Amino acid sequence: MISWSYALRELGRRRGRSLLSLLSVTIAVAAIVAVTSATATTRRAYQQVFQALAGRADLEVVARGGGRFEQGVADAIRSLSGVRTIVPLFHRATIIYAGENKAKALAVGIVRDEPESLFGFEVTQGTFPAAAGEIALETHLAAGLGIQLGDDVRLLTSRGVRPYRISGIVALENAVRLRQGGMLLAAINPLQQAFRSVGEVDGLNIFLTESRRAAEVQSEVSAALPPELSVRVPSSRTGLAQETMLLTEVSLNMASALSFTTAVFIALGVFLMNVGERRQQLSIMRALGATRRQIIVLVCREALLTGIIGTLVGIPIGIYGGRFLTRSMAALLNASLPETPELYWGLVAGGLVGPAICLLAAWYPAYMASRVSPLEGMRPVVTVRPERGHRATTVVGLAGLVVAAVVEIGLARGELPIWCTIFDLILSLVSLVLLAPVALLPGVKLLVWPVRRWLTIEGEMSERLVLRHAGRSSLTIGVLFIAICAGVGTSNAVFSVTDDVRTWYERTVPGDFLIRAMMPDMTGQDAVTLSDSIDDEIVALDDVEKAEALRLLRIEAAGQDAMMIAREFRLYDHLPLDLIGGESRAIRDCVLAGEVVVGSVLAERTGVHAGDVLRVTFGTENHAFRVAGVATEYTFGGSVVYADRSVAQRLFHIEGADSFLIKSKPGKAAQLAPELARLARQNGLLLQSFAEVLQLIDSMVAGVTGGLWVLLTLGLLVGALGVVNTLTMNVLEQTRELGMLRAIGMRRGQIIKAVLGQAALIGLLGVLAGGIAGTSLARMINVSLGSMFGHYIAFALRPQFIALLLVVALAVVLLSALVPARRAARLNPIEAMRQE
Amino acid sequence: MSVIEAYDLTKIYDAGVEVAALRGVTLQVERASLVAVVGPSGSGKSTLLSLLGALEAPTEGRILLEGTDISALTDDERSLLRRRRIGFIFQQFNLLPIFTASENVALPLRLDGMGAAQADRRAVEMLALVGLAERRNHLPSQLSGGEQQRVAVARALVAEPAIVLADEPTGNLDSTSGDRVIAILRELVDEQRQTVVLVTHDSSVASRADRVIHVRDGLIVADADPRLGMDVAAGGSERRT
Repeated sequence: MISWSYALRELGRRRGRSLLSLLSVTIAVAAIVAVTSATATTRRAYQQVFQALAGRADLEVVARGGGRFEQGVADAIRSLSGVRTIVPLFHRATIIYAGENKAKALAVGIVRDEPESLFGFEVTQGTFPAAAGEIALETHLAAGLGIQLGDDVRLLTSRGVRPYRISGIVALENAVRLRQGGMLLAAINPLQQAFRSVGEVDGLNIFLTESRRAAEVQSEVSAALPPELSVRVPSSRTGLAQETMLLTEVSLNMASALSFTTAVFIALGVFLMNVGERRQQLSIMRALGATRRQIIVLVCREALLTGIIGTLVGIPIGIYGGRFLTRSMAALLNASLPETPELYWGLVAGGLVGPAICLLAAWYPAYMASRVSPLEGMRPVVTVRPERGHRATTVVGLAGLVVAAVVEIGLARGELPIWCTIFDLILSLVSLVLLAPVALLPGVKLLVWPVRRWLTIEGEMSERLVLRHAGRSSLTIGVLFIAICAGVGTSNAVFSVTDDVRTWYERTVPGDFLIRAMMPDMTGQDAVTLSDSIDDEIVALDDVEKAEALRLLRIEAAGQDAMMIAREFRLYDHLPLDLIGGESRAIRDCVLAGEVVVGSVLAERTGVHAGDVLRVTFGTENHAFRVAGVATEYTFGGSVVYADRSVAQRLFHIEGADSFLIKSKPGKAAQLAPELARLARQNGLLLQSFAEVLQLIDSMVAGVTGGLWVLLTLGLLVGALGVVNTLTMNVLEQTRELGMLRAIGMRRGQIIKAVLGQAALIGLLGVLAGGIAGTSLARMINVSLGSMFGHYIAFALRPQFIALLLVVALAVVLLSALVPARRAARLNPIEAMRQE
Repeated sequence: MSVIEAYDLTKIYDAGVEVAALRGVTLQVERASLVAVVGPSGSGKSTLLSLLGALEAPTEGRILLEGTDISALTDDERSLLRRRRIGFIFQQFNLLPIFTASENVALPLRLDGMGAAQADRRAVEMLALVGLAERRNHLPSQLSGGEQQRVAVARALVAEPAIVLADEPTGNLDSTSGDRVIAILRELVDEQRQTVVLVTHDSSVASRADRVIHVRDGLIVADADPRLGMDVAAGGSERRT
């Protein structure tokens, strides 16, 4: 086929320009492969870990809200028709100590005689534990701690640190190791005893005979259960984890969508220029008998080739980037994710995106090419057609802005899912770019107006040349605009959220030190429960002003999965929470009297306000609380209910603590630190200072924003390459004029100034418009985030940062423009004038 | 027998103001003749050529190519017609710079779906006809102006068209190269019974045509055999075109 060879040669002929489109496609494909594979890997990992815990039961019985309940409930359903067997589920987070080593682990209770209870575990050495004092370790955990079969270890339980012997090493078929630890198995009854939970389970797995369908039995089981328990088809209990992941996923997908849009615009610019430059060639082909369809196919084949090559290059980069992102997600979620990434959807998405970008971008230029008149080939000089009006693009742009505004209102009112933010963002940006041609003339005039009096001939030339190619100039301005707008918008949003998180942390965690068993786990996995006796040891230290015990309970609040945080509010004069409205002291009194404060996201989702009643279920306990207030909350996706510890103890019979918040006496923090460190060491606990925790939060945020920054930097670079492309094209088209100007005495320096002047105009328009739109975008993101987090996030404008970003962007644009400027300056006037 | 016949051709361009480039032109071109169209700039001769070559449609009038009315064809039908029945030679040569001489010549055949090898064989035959077989692998930039125009001639002939239309084929050539190109066209007419219509400013080129049509202000003002100096119109009567 002639078109393929023609397409290939055209690509080879304009290497610089082909590389530019290739680069933009590659970046977009890489971004999409990376983000898709990283999110798919994380999601799969979480599904697997919950599957491993839930087994493969037909039905499961759980307490509404996820608390514990009496194992005896099983007796009521055992006799139901179709129920083959019932396996109790019991698991607790713990710490395993082996000599100097320790690791966080999940202790899982098993019923040795029940094959269904052992499903998914394969003994590689020894046997499954049967007696009290025996445990089996998961392979990686054993290897990580250097533990052999028969070794003695210790476990942190509710009855203190207790000795155990390794009876076996097991391999997990289907689970992911938890970070800093893994899974260990113990016989269920002794394990319940060790955790002061005799007769209590986290769930019951029901296995049915083949003759009965799950749906039929489900209603019978439901009828037999007390109201606080529910029976359901096992599902991944990833609700809380998903909440935590959602923002990260939305941010990453937003970055992918931005690189996709930028790539489409860059490729559109490149293909338009290619077609523009080749009008005469295309007209010759038309004169020789090429049909319009053949011309369209020809241009689209070039595009497809670019897309395919870009995809082939982009996919490996994306796979590598995906690993980096997966590690960042693992750090954020505090979990260890599989080394083998989930590539299927990433590859599918990436494989489609590259060709899609190019075909999307090539459609209009191909159409334009097919309209080239065969007559143009007959004419020695191609007439410059005046650019037609921009009515169509203006109308589409305005319509797009209206739709974007409607979507934005829907987002702000929480009626649309957060994913619509991405659509909203892209639609707004594309609509604004479509409006660029009509804004070009007033924009240029406005920029030039203050300096018009001092404008030299070079400046006037720059102004006219930018306006002469309004379409091309607008497109380049559009690419810069998107890059800058995205940079300013997302970075400002990240700053706002980071500031908000800091404020929340400072108000909510008013201590100098935190003692906990291990790192916090944002997935909502059960934390290790510390013995109350540690509290006494901490308070006994001289320099401690107060030590607050925090206890986390998995609950169901107004039908939603949530976490109750029981705190000792009596220790504070003001409520240590980031309250949204209300008077702190008054709310504190209400909370001490038995009311609760609801996290912002949960309040938003359930429509609960101060003064309302919130129904909370924890295991078999069910209680209606009056809501005293709403507070900003970032842990557990904001689905949190704060209650006073004494109230939680009275209603839900809780013991122990998950962490201790310690406030030192004024000026004694430095002296207290080594004492607490010693205490933490003795008890195998983790001590963190306030500064360390803030640092931890920053590093978690940094992991995600790092990825965003890389993508945005690439966006800016690609934007700069777009400027080079546009100016090179302008210079090529102006060869004769430039030759003539040189002939009548224009110096090389003046030519460079004229070209740089065009770059400055394009750069300033793109950068300034991008800066303004980016600031608005940041506000828009803040509003969207507000509906997600359930409270308005204060808008943190950082003018110095924005100014720096704009100056850097402009400098990059001007530096890039030096290439075509020097090319223009080097033109030989005689040769240039001879050029057609 | 006429290869091409035009009746009352009118072409009006609307560029804000209506401009009549041709105003009711009628002519017939016989097979195996070399016809030169001459006239001052803006007289309408190039427009006439573009209408005869189905590059654009007339505002009014009819054009019959080998008896088929081509004035009302769709764009795609005109494309096919140009590809198969009309050969073009341009003043600027208009070779595609990324293709070699033989690839440029083969282009109309490849556009028509012919395989590369077969089209290349045919292209080389055509290049041999214009004396450039040994230059077949050269890019246009490696050829002189005269050679480029000969390649363009070969390209015009490769599809065995009913008629070859040439717009100032010697306009960008020195006299030697120009003579060579005209000699080739003359040979084609005399030996291969090809029909050629060319637009020229050059009186020496026109003098070698079988017939010279003078165009002025969108009208044919004279139509004669330069060797006989007589009007070509039927019966030798004066005619308005």
